[in-house]
Amino acid sequence: MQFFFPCFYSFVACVAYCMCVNLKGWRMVWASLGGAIGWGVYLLFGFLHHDLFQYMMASVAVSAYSEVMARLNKTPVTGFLLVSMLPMVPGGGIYNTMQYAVSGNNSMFLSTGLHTFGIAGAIALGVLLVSSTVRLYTNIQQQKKAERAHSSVQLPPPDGR
Amino acid sequence: MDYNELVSVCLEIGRLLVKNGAEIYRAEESMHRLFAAYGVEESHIFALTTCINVSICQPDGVPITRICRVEGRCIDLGKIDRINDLCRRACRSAPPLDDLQQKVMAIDRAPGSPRSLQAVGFAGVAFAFTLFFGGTAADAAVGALTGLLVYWLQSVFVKYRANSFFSTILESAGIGVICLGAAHFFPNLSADRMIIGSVMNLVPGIAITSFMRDILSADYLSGMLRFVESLLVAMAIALGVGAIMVLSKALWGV
Repeated sequence: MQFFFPCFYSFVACVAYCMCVNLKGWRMVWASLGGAIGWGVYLLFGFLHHDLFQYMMASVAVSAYSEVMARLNKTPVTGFLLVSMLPMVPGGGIYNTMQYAVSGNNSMFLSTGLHTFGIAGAIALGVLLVSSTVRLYTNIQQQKKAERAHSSVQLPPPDGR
Repeated sequence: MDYNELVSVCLEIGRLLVKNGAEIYRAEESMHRLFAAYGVEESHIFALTTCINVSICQPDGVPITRICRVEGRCIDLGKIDRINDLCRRACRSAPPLDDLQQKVMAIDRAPGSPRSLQAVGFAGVAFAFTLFFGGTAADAAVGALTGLLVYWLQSVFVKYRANSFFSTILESAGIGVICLGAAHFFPNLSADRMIIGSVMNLVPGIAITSFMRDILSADYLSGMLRFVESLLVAMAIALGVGAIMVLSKALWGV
């Protein structure tokens, strides 16, 4: 139960966000499902009590999911990624930072601000890991394909040797 | 082949991609591919979140350079999707430029989601995030109300082209007034959760996550631009809500 409700709320939030950014049809459902999966993974790694690592694993899961879904739906991966990342965006962190700033608690303000910054970094690192791996893989595949096409033509050896 | 027209059509495609919130590398790569599909061997593109520079070399060696300012940025994933699709088809078949131009214009002019749906979306984001951050159903209902208010304010400000920093301050101040007022009159509501949930509509979530992505993928300049943007928005939210919080402390001593 403590897993189901947060995931369900993030799903609803993502659906609502899709309405704002003009994403329609089945893509809306898939993208929102990504948000729920991301938060589920975040909660799954909760036993580690290290939220930066949790955020990174969640963003790895979400971006892997988004890459797969983008390939299946033949759409840019951005659409899935932006919507699915929404529950992970450190809104609470920003709010707390602001509250410490208003109440004049400077040391807490700085540490909360830096922590929020760290969360953004962890999320970006997760996305980067997955998208770079996928790009590397497709580049290797393309190069191999080009080499195969090249060798099947049976070019004469260079310089007539 | 009219290279001038080719450059302007491709620039328009790039501008629409950046304007509607696509990543920098997507805009650059789409334009590179389009130029290659129309037989331009040398093309140099430098895109930022606010500006695109293109320079191509015609077959007779005369270069064409264009600069395009990107204004009125928003996020419209549906449009990115359609432009990407158009771009992919154009790269495969290289249709006549007039044709392409017309399709691009049609996408640019296409209306987004209907207004009622967008309003429901704003209310829904605030509603769901209030629950997500641990609020009760009553908190969430107030959150939905602030979502509607934010949507209304935003549409008014966009219509009269208000400064975005200024409008974010006023929107977050509106959130602060509703949430703190509700928490004052109904003490069983929790103001913190309502505010966190409602502010999610304004939080520069896209900017925060994508500035890191731009920097890590070596688009340093765009990354810094987005970083400054997200910092400014966060500051505007803090100013708006913070001012109301200080005021309510003075008035009610909460």
